[in-house]
Amino acid sequence: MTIIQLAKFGHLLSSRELGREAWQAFLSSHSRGQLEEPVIVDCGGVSTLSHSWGDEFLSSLLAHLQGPLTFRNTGNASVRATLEYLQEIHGKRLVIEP
Amino acid sequence: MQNMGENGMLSISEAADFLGISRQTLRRWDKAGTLRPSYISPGKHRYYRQSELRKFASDLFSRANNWALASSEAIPAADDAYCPTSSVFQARLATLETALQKIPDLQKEYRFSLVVAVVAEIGDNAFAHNLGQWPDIPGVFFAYDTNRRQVVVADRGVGILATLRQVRPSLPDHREALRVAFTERLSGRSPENRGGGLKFVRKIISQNNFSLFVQSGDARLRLSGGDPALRISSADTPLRGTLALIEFSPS
Repeated sequence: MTIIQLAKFGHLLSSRELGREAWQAFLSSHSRGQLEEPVIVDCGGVSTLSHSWGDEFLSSLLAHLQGPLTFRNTGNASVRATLEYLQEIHGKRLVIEP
Repeated sequence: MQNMGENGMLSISEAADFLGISRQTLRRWDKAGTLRPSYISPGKHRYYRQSELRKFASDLFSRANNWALASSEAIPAADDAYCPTSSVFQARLATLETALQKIPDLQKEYRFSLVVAVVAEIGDNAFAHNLGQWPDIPGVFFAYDTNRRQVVVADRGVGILATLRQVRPSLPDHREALRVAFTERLSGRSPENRGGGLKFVRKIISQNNFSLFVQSGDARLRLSGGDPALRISSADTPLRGTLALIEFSPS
């Protein structure tokens, strides 16, 4: 199982540029095999998540994952709004835990 | 001038502290006519009436509008609200976030983050869609007043119509461009797979007690909390770039 702590990329997660940068950093530090395992994205510690950052990082993650994906610690209003919007865009039901 | 304080007049240092800007900025604003002192002493010291400073600070929208509309020569070389690069904008966004975190009704479930996310999308759009195309002054005017619960973001870029015509040349006018920007997932930077940021903004505004005003070209859009309908109308004075006012009422 792979756990991704979003707050390690920053507390205020905004802009496509920074989201893309975060995704490239993630790819370089994780093996392809880790994307075949179940992945948990821990949103704890994030102060703001914008759609653009989420679209670059989380949409890329969704496209590469082969195992199940769960989001945790999603009490932040902008985290929830971004995840709900990504569900709409991708037409996928995400597992979102409080 | 010892009685100045008693008369509600502030020295330039006190006025700078009052507005949260530098004395140099006040001097530039004086030269540019943006904000004149109320009184200049025989010794050439500037004094500002507190009531006038309060009025000036409260009218963020006019300042942003003037910045977006002015001829490039008339714009002060530096304004504390001016973010020439995306990095400066990001840094000020973090400052806004810190200020919003102190507002009690925005603390529950981190509601302040919704305001920050909206401002982030609008500001990031300005930088992403004008990169390499700024007609004169790059960057955005970004200011906020947490007491009046307002944020303004303005740019002097090419505007939403010109951006979207790069991927949809048939767009007839600014009104239709605004409608498309807020209702369709269409990227002005094809072939990149992006877009949708302003749809996200619409969703947040309409689901919360926020409101949004946007002008680009000769079209203006209003969106209010509790109502996803876009009210698009014509503006009297066209604006080449984009001007946005975000207001966040108490829940």
